[in-house]
Amino acid sequence: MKRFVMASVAACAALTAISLAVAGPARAAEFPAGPIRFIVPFNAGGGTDVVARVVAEEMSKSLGQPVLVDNRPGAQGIVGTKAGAMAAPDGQTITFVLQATLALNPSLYKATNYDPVKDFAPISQLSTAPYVVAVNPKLGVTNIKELIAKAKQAPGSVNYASGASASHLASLLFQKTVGIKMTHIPYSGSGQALTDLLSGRIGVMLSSPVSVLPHINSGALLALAVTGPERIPSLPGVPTVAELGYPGFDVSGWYGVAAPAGTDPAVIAKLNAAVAAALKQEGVRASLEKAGVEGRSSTPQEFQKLIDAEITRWTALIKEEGIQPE
Amino acid sequence: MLDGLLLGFQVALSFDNLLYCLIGVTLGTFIGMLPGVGPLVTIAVLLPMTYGLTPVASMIMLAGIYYGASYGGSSTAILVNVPGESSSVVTCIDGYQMARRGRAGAALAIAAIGSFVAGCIGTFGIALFAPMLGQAALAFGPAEYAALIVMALVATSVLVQGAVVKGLLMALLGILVGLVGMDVNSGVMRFTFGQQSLMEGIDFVVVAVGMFAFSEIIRELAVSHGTTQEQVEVGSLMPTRAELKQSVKPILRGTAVGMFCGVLPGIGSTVSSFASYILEKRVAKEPSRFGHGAIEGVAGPESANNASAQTSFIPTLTLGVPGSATMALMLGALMIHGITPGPNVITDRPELFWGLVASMWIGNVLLVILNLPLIRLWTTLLKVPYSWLFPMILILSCFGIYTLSNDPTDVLMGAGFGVFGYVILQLEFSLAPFILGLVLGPMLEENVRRALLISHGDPMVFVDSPISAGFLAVASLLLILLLLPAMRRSRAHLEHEA
Repeated sequence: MKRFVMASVAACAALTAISLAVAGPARAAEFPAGPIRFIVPFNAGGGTDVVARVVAEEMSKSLGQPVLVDNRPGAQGIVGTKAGAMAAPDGQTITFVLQATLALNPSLYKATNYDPVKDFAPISQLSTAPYVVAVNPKLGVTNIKELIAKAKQAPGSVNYASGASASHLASLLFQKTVGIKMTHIPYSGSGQALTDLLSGRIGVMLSSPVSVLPHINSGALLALAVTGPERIPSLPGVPTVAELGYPGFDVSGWYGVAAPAGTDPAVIAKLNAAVAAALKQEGVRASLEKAGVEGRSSTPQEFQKLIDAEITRWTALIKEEGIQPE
Repeated sequence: MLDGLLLGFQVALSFDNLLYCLIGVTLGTFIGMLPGVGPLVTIAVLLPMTYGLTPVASMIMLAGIYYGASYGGSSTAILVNVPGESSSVVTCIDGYQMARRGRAGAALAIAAIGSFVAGCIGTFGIALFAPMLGQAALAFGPAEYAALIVMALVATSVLVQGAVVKGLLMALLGILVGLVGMDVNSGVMRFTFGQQSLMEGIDFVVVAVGMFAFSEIIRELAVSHGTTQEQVEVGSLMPTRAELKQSVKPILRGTAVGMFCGVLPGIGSTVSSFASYILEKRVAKEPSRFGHGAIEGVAGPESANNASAQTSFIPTLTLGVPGSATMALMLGALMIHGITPGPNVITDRPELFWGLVASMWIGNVLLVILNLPLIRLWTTLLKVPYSWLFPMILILSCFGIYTLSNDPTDVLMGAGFGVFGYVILQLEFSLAPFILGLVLGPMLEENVRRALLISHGDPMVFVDSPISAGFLAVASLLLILLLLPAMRRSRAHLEHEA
């Protein structure tokens, strides 16, 4: 019996030693040492998943190892993001991060169990996507000025829809900037919100360009403005909110990639280069555009700055609006 | 339209497109059998592979997966009480009872025939009415949905078997379970007990597999413990003349219900199969047969879910409004090919629209050819001793539940619902009201609140629209009809007393 215990202890020690050797700090030169796991904290088939798969395929080519998308949905992205934060910091596991999981969840949900700054080492931004302020023609407004005038006439009389907390908060910021109050009609997903916008039950929606574009082209909806810093190629005649007298106004959704905190900077640099190379491909840019976002890479430092600025901005807005964390 | 259909068949009958149609429906049938693994996941995974195909070919294949799955889902529901798709949950109720009585072959055949008929009529309906129906979908707002659901719930009181109180209790419990998770209006967490995995609510598939498949296994184990299990006589494979005759009207009614539900974004095939079941039970001469293997309870819902799978393409294609997550994915697939769905898609891309319509009909033919011969094979499954079959069902079900969101908690929850299902079956409560409450309760809440938000708190919104007023009128009428016999009976009772 005693001998058996000794043998077991020895075996355990040997196993520990091996696993330590494997999991020890990865050397950048040997990276990647195997397939890379790319955690996407939402369901397969969603907007985030499509973008992740397009980029992952190109990254696989330049890294020489498959980058495998691993969908870990649940709890508004908290489950998957936490899993990414807990992974070994060797670059073999990377996480799809976005405005909602890093900048919004921590102040919206008590269940958030990761620190968006301390737990992650940013790799690169992937994309940016402004909103289009779309209205139903039945509302009787054709530009932002008229919308503001109408909303000011009877505060709260105009309804606006949101399909997710990100677009809700973007709408709040928009209203605060132009000084109006509208009534929020929440939806779980933009499909039904769009039906009610098209029928005129809802007057206004801040939507991703791709889902309202066909309706704007057919005349069923009007585009009053875009919320990004520049006009967008698919709607060249639509001004930005900033152009209309609100300089500096810029609200865009963004996606990015991050590694667990403590990952070797040389490994981060390699991953950053792979992302940048992928986003340079014409095909990738085109696929992302069709998925409704504009491909944009950045250095890890730039991405860290963006994340920090976004956290500050949205945390302040959520507090100001008196939205209690749940 | 005739020109359009001709063009469509030309496109759909080309060798490549025929092949993709076959691949799609075959794949659909198989994933349909696995609980949890639905068309949504399959289409998501296959989407990148379709980039290289022509838009028509990729749509034909993806659509084949979608409606093929609603065929496959019924097989496991009938044979082993495992709903392969959420739209085949209703089929479990009477389909499995038929199988236990040795009529598995007939149930499978009727499911396939019903689906085929519904598919044909549905395809024809799309060809005929697509542009008009697309606009009709816009007429349905939160108020109209709320009224429609109220009508459905009132009509459902029929589903309650035995003691009314027991049925109501189950429906209320179902609603409570449906409320678990984050409230979309306020972001408040309800009944989550601080558990992360409950934040987004309990998946319908987890409940359905737990309460139907797992509880049945527990019950069989309890019954056949220590005794040799009696062999189910498979009996004749094909439905008898009488069974066919009984099914004709339910199939047609189911098709109508399904086509209606499919056009409405957000209603979907699960609700349509319930609606058809309720309708069949309502119009049946002997409602008491339902739940004990009534063939109408298979024919109607199976036709309904297939018809709605077909017509759900109408709002997606002609309006660019996806009715479900799966349809949103289809929309994405089209946009990746540079096609923007909308009212102009029929005139701008006739080969795509008519090709897809024609391929749906061809796909339905392929599915029947594929499924009818398989019935013999499936029914032999029933000859496999339960002691071998159960572990297999368990493993497949657990696998299916796990893949929903790669979360082991879901599997444990499924097990919990299995025990719960067993207990309530032992107490002679029925499962149907529970499942219905689970599906419709949260939908009703969401739409009532949304309608009132939009109208700024004015309750007149529910009667201002003729559609919603109409539904509410029918609901009140049903309620009166329902109460009348009770009143008459109590009066007779009083008179008797006097």
